[in-house]
Amino acid sequence: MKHILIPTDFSIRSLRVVHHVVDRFGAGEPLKIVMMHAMQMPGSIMDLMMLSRRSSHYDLITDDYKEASEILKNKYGSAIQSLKTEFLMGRSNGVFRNFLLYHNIDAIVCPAEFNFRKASPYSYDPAELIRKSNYPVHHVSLKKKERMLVSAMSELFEI
Amino acid sequence: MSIRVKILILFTALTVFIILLIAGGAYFLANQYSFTDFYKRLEIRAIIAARAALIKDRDNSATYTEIRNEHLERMPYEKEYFLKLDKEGHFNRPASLASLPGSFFEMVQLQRKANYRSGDIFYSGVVFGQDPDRYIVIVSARNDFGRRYMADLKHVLTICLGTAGILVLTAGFFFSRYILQPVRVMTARVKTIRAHNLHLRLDPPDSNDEMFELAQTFNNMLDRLETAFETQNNFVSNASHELGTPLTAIIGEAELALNKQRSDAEYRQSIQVILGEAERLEHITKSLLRLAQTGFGGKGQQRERLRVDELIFSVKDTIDQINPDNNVEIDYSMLPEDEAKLFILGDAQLLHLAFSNIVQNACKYSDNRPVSVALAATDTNIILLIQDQGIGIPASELPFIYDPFFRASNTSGYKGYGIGLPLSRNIIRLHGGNIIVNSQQGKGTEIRVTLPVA
Repeated sequence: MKHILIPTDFSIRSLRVVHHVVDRFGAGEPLKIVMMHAMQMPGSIMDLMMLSRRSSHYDLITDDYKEASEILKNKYGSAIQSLKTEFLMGRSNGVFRNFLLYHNIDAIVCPAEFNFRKASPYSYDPAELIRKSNYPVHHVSLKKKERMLVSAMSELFEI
Repeated sequence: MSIRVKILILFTALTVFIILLIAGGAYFLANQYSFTDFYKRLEIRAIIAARAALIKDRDNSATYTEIRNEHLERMPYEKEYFLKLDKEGHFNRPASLASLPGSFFEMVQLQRKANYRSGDIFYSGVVFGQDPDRYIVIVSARNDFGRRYMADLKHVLTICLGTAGILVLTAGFFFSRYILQPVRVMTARVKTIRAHNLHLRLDPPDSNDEMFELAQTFNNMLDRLETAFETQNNFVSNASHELGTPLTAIIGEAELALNKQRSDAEYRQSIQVILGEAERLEHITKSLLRLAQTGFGGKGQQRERLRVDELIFSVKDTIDQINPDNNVEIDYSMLPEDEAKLFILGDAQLLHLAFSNIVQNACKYSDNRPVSVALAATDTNIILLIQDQGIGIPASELPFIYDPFFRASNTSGYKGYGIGLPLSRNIIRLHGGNIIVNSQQGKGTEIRVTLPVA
């Protein structure tokens, strides 16, 4: 069993890393993939108090993203045992280390050129944390096919 | 009577009734309390009067008289009566007390004190002293203060009730207006829908309430109505359009076979193709007939388990026959591993019709540039993504693409009737699916079809 972490900004593009993960690690053992979205701790005291009960950040997960991740899970049904999306709350190395330990992560896979899109005002690009984490980090480059894009969904189909 | 008036009346009546109940309760309780209070006062006066008048001890008696004169203000119509009791408990009743009932005196003797009220005059009696000097002391007075107090209370409560009634009526007026607002909007919208614009739909409110359900129900009904109406209306055009494709293939094949002498095997093959197309023709006729007969009611269609990828293959075969120059590429990269996720319940002929229409359109309007048909499965749906690099659809015309016979303004160079897409959408909707068209003029079109997994 291998546990892989992929940072995501809920774009379909970030899900394409899964193809490479399966290519690279999929042989032999089943994969557990954690798509991680990093968010800062809110600054105000009220937000902090309600943090554990808050569920508004789940609204960030778009229907397209949900569908696309289901498609991927179905495509690699035998290789991927689970593909879930988790939120990292906080910006310190310690929080990230605990997150990695909790999910039992073996390796981190990032897209090489990642145009991070802030899904919410609290979202941030966790590249810095990943670099400092001392975990094996693999960068994959997502090739872009020359094809006109109409909807976000079609991005998934360019391996 | 309109629902609005009913709501108004019901709301007002209910609220006013509740206020009335509370006001009545308050009045009743206040009344009770003011009585008890007054009886207590009378009783104390009776005891002090008895002590002042009947005690033999001079000093004590003087003190009581003093207290009485100095601190106890005389009440309106205050009167005292001292009735001496003999050994058997008999006494002489003075004429001024003739109106009091016998039971009052009995109660006084039995419980050593009792109260009685006659109109505005309140009586309180106590038994005082030991045998043989036993007296019944009765003090009576009029409860002027209590009366005034109760009258004031009544006044205030009546005013409050009146004000509240008017307030509730006004609030109810706006309340009923507010409650029925969505209904009025819906009514206005439904009124605009006629036979020529059956494609219009209600905008379901954002909330997940009964109004949303109602709007949804209306929309579903309009869906069924529209499809039934359209099929009835356009059956002939649909039929000729759909029958045209296999007929073209048959004619082409026959012409090809006839234009020079050929070998037996070649004739046999041509006839095979013609037979295949004729069979398809028969299927289509049957499907169309069924489509017309059932009016998209969902009954009478033969639903079977189909594999979508096989369906897409047969669509591609058909298109290859009709248009050998096509550039359709089936993208299986997202195909699920588990084949069970590729099955849908549906009518093979109808779905074949729908998909070949869509893919054929993609080929036609992109002048045989590459068309990709991608297939993927989520946990609940099968997604088909058909992309072309054609002329696209102008954004302003996107809302009308499902109207029968509508053709976008940039399609003048292409043959067509504006029937294919509406028919395809009807068929997909019939299967519980959905179709979304994204397009950029001059760049291409992407059609996303979702169908529920069987």
